[in-house]
Amino acid sequence: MNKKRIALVGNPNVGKSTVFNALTGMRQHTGNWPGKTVAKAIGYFNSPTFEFEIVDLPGTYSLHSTSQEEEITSDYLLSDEYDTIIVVMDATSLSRTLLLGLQIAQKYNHVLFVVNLMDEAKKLGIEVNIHELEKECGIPVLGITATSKKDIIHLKQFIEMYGDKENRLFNLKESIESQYTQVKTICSLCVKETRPRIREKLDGWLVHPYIGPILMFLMILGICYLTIRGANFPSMVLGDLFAIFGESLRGWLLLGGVSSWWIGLIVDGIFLVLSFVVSVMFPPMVIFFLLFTILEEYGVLPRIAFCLDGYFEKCHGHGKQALCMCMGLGCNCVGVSGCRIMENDTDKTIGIVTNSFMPCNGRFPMIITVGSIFFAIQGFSSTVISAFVLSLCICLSVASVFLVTYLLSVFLYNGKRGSFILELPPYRVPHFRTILSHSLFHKIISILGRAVVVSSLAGAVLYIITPYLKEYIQFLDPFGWMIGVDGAVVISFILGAPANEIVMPILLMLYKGTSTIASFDIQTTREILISNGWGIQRAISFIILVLFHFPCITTLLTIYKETNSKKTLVLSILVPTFYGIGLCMIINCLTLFI
Amino acid sequence: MNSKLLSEMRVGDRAYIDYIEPMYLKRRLQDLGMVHGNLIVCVLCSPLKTPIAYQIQDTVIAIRSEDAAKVHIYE
Repeated sequence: MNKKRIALVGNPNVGKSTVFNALTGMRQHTGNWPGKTVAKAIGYFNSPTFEFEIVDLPGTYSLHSTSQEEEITSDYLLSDEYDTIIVVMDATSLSRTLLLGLQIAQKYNHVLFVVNLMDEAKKLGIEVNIHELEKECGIPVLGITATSKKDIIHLKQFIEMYGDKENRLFNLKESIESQYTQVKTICSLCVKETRPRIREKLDGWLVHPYIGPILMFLMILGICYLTIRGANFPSMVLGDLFAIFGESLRGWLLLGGVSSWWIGLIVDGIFLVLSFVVSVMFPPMVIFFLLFTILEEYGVLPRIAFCLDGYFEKCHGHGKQALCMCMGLGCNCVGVSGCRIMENDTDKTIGIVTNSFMPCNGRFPMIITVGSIFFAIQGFSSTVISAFVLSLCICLSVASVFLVTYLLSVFLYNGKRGSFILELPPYRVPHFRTILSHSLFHKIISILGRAVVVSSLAGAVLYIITPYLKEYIQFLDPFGWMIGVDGAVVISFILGAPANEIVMPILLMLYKGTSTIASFDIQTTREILISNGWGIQRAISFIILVLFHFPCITTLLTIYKETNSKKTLVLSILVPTFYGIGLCMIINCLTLFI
Repeated sequence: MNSKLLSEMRVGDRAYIDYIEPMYLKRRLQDLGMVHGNLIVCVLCSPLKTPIAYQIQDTVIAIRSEDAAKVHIYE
């Protein structure tokens, strides 16, 4: 069968990834903010005569590259490795997205135009005359709504029909001013606006100097509350199911004649850690990602970056760092890769180093447990308290990111800063199907899969080394006391490096003196902690260490992969660790005086 | 013709782009449609008065007021 290679290009946030996913049935990350696609993705689909390979390129405003992802696109177009280029445009803002198309049509002769978001344009009262556009540009054009199945079938037929045809090169003027005049002339012929556009009211509130921050805090609080509330029950059920299955597993292995050491390793080591991680981590992760994706698809993330950039500018930072921080709340690895959207290397490095300051999903359960035990207030349910503690933690994290960004850029990078341009996309009511597919299947499966692998390995290692840990705990006790905790906490964090989810179970295991980790209900956990000398001060120190310590191993690997720099890697380990230790020491000193 | 800077616009103001002073963002802003004669509307101001969001070519983009001070406009 004949093979054809197609390059998908277009401005940021015009729905290239949605078109790509629809064509190939793949699950590339989509969302309502420019710059999600940070590297090229490749997918396939077949037609009766051809096998098509589609390359989804990062969004670019023009062929003059100024950032890493734009470079990927322009390099690829220069490489000549494709048969056809499809330029995806936005029907709601054709006057801007058409320019890139014309620039490409000026240089290449197998070009197709696809005008996406036709439904949204229609809702806004914008009519795009596809035939007229085709006539004016001399390029085959198809208008689609990428979320409609029928339109995707049309698109496939369109590619099959016109993909091979050569078009004449478009005659584009030299200067950018006259290029825009040409674009305007074409648009005046093809685009009809039947009514003036209305801007959304929500913007006014979200960026208000006083109401904005309160609204954002309430939003975080709401997400935390729903996450904690919704996760309680499924976590319990999963935990019980795993416990039952673990006992059956032990029974089967006994019947199979496996030696007791191996049974211990498999059941009490690997399986126990694995089941704990899954039952504690899985339900909140599903709920959090679901809520987060709704906000992301709706278009809230760039607004947060917009509001916070003023503060970042004061700290010599970059507003887009806020986008990476939001992603970091889900998973620091995702946040670290997201830092590619910043053009300047200094901004990128600072963004990566400070990303683990944002507590990822895996750290939520620790904060929730300790919060509900030690900060209980009469008359409030523990869920409300936990949500409140968690939200405060996130605020503390954000404040720390500002502080550290300032210190890093002043002391390490002489306060140099990069450029800031941020596109604020229109609010889009998310499609239920996109949310489910992208949130539940793509992100969760990959993060959970990794956690399962890491935690089973960690389980095996823990089972083997636990009997020898006692001396080390005593050895680390003085250091632990210095920062307001004890040796067991310090060692739990070190052993928890593979995945933050297992820090708490390791700690409880060390306190109990057993050789296997165990999940306890909240009452037992409280007794264990209090009998080991925990009070409010130690709880605060512990939470601070949870927020600020070295990133987990997977995040470190991602950092090294992204930057290829040992210096950044070392900084990402040292900066949060010393920040956390310093903060704990200060709190410890203060409590001594009080 | 009343000549001003982009950074002097208030939310709701409408104006036309005149020219951009040479700076590191010039090419980027031109790509986004900030070329002579294009209509620009100031749509949003962030809590610290920087960045400010403008609507140009049916798209809303935010830039810092420091950079906006390099863009000349007329009404």
